[in-house]
Amino acid sequence: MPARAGRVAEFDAIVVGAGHNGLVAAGYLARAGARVLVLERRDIVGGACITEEPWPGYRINTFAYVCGLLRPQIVEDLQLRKFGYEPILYDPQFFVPFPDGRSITLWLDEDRNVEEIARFSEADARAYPKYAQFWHEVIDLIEPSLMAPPVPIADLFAMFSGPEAERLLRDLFLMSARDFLDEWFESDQVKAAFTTQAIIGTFAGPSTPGTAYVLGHHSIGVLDGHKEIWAYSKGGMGRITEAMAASAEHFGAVVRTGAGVRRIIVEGDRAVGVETDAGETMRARVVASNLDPKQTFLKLVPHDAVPKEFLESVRRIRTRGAALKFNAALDSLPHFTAKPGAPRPHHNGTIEIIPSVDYVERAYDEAKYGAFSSHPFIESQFQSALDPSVAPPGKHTMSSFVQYAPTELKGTTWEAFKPRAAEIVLDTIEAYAPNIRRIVRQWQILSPTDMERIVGLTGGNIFQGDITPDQIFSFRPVPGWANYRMPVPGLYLCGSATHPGGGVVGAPGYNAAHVILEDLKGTT
Amino acid sequence: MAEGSVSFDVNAPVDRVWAFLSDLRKVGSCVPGVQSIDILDERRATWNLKLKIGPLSQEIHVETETIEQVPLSRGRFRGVADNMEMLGTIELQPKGGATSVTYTMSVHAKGPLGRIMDNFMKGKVKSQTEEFAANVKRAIEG
Repeated sequence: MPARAGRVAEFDAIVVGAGHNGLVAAGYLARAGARVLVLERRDIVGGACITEEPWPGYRINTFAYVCGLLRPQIVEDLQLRKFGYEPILYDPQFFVPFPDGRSITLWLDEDRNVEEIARFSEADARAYPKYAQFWHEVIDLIEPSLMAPPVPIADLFAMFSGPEAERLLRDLFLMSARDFLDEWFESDQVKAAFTTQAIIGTFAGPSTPGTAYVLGHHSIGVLDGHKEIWAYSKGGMGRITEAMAASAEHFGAVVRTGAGVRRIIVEGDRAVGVETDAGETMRARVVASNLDPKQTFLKLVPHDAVPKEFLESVRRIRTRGAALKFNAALDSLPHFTAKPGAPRPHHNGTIEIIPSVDYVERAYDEAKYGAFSSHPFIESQFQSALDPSVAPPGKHTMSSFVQYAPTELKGTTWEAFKPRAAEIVLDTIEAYAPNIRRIVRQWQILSPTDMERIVGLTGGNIFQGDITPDQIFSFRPVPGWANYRMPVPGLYLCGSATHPGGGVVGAPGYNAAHVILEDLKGTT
Repeated sequence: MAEGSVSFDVNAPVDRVWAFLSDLRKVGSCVPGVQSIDILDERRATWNLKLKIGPLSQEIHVETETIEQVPLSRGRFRGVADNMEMLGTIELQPKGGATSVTYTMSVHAKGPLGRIMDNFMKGKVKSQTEEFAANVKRAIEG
């Protein structure tokens, strides 16, 4: 695009929002030689991938709490380890205690998992290696699609011909997690242990069609030769985005915090820059928004610059919140009835409170009608057990993802309900770890409305839109606009609302940056 | 584009290795996933391969053509499938009584799934070239 007299673009690209995908996009753009400005409303970078210190010495992962999904190529290309990112693979990965005092521990070593599962069902223990192999192969299939713009769903489905492929298509895209797991396993405890990753962060129950795919999305983690894993970021999740910002700056990007954007400037039919909350205007050849489509198009872009049908599609994106965060400072580690004592290996991994598939279905049922689950599904970590750098000596941190927490509560507000929500969370954990109340020194609750207010996740949806089959691949963020280019020329989306979706993956930022670089080529 | 390269030594003189690698049926028995080969003439052949993509098996028909042959030293071929092009090079170097072989293969996927297939092949070509090398070595050395 020729620059207009007196209105020369100061930057090639302005990235709105310094969440992890915005920083990845900025890093790749700057690395390719583009002049890049990143504008972040908050005083820290990172979006939902941050670590804060609400209590002295306790480094808390305010929102996102585990890594592992971050694509290895991004870590390498942007030299993130050089800039301070240090993943810690934990083992066991999961510890699932049950009310009867038994438990399942899932390790990196699949043979150990067979032994764990055999304590519940010999048939399930025999099925598990095939189940694990099924996911290894599915991930081999999904992985190549992550670091490329999404192909039309019809072309994707064209790959699936023949009986084995049709079965896979059915399993992955159409089935509920419950039906899918019922075909593999007989023990309810075993099924519960595997259900967690099918519904986490998603406003859907295990019986909701499409949740089998969510299970796949949460299996794309790769680290140091291990696949389908989760890990901690040493020092907290914020280290990841701090490393990304340092990398982007190393490659020449300018990263400004305390600089919220109140308007994306559209002239003629093209996005040409932004206006900050302070009234500054900056011009660029392109603008990439790391915010979700609702924040971008319903709040920042003039509505008359966008086709009405597109705006309607944006309004229809499902961005309901599913969970709240309960973060706490602990005096010591909890003692689980199912495995007494502390510290023990299971404290290193993710603790799942999900006694049965029905339990979590009922938790969802309550949320469907506007209530916080009276018996929620809880996923907790005690990162300090493995990474003492996040807590004062001898003390511990707890990060709990508590589901289901609808965006809007019927008959009350989140602010009014928080003390009651905290009681429910502690009651629930106490049933498995009786000393929990005695060891909690401080706690905070971040509700879905807090997630929207603090980091701009509409509805508190951690993925910037559910990652169910109707909102993935070429349907993401909305059908017809899945290649990062938006209906306003010069405007792009680069956040989790785009393919391949949410989690600290970085692929949306990578893909968007490459599309932008293609478009910048040949323009002046 | 996906590329894989492997160098290996075969404990056989260069003329024997060349004779083996010039025989499409013998080479075909070493290429992973080959179901059958139809030899059209001395330079061209149709290869029917089964490629495993995650849990899916895809059948691919590749038309190949030998585009360069320098006896005892170097051979190059290209292959074309529906949505894929490939280029392969084999170079031989005498090494005492043995032969040093370098095999390079590049694959470029086309069509709507091109980028995905390219990403997929990046992971696959390396293992395929290594498997090919091991098979050739075993077949010649016995």
